Amino acid sequence: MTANRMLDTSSTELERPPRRPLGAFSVRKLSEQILLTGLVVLAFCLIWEGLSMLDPFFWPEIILSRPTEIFPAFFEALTTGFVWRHFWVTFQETFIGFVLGAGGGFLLGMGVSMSPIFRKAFYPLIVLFQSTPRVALAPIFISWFGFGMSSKVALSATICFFPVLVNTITGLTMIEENAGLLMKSLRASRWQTFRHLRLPSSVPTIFAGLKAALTFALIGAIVGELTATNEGAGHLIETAAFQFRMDDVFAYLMMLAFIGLALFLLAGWMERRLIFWHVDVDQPI
Amino acid sequence: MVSVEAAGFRQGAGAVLHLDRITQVFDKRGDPLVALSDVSLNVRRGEFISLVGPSGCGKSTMLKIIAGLLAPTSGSVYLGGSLITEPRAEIGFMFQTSTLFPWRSVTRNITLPLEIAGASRDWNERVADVIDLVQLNGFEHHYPRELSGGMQQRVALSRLLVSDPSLMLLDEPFGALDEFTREHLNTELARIVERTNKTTMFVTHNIPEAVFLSDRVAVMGSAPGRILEVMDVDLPRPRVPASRLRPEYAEIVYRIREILGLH
Repeated sequence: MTANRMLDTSSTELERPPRRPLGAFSVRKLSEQILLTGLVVLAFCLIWEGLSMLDPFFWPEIILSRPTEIFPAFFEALTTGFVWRHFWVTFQETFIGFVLGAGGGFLLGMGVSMSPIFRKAFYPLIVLFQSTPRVALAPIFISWFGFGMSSKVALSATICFFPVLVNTITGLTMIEENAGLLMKSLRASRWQTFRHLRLPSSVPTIFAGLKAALTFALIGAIVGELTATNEGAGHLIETAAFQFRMDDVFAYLMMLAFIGLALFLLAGWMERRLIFWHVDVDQPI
Repeated sequence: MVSVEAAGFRQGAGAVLHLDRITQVFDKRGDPLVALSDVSLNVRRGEFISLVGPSGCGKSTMLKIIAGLLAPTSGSVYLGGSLITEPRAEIGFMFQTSTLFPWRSVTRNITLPLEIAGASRDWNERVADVIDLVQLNGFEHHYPRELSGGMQQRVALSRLLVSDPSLMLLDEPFGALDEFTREHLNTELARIVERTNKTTMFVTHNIPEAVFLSDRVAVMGSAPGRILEVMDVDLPRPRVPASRLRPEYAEIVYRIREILGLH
């Protein structure tokens, strides 16, 4: 009888758990997020606006501007064709830089992870480059590729390249020991182990690298433009700052922030679809 | 009830698996560590044999050697008369961690061995059979992270069964589970091996579990890893939860504890 009871209690294990589709999107969570963050932004703007009404000696409005000027400037920028033309340049530099840099990092990472000798030879160099502040390369690229888009693409690609490279190598080489033994016991070939184990289990790590690279790509393009150019968002900001048009500077920054956010959300969306099976996916963005 | 295996004899009558003086020495930063010392053992076809012993007695190492995942320092393993030098299709291995691939659904985890072996794609019936056998019905399209630890081990077990190995090597498969789930899965495993009649080697440090499941229990000691004694378990089959009420059960458990110096 004791034995029977034992069987009964543990058979509850067989009941189906309530199931929420993996990677599902929650509207309630999102609206809560928007509301909370919106309140913080509103409070910040109110304080800023209030301070700007103080004594100009105490609060130099000319270099700090105020929300009631920035928001109109922002909406004006959104409706101005020439602003969009400059942002379009930046967007292209970012996109091409990202594709070249991340793609190159992924391919070289695959190559390096294939052979232990390659890995040994390249790894110290990769770490060295990884720890160099790569924006410092901007002047070199300007002198190599000129003032146009190609120097910004080169800088952007160089900055994107390393996080993807490092994460690809890490992702492809770090596999759970028993999973590797399982493949061995199933007599899987090198290619099968790569195809069925290494590659899929590396996706979360590689994706983390890609996400970082996406933001880095934009940084690369902007830094390139701040260094030397006559077009792009970086150029707009620099010009406006020289002319003390602070409301425009902040407006352009806001646009950049929104572009950055859009890229980040896009990456998050892709991540949820692609690696819905991974435990960390449900973590807040 | 107690029988000691004589070391050093060639393949015994009826033995399908024959371990001949296996020694395994690991090099731990210059210090030689003797994981297994001169271990010999014969396993009969269809037999369920457990290896019990404290951590570090080399029981998992022994399983890896039999699986062809690890070459012994000296000695040989024969399966059906032929020397094992590498993993084989007729040997299935199950780990303490489920080692399920989280990006694959339950069904696709189970078909992994078939895909790797390049089996023809008409495996649906076979997969449905093992899902039935381990009672995973209704979970076919779930992903591993949606399952409890016990359910995950059921999936791992069906992945092992799907390629119909003649020898199953189970390395503490229920070691990470809670006591209720473990006992329940023990009952299930007893039912499955009695139905499929596969030769099984089962590593555990849980003595009652080993006795409940096995035809024989090899009791191992550590430093160096070796077999202290091989016990026959004369409990009638089928093994059901009530088998634990039998006096022989308690007696064998007691004897094994004694050999391991637990009294």
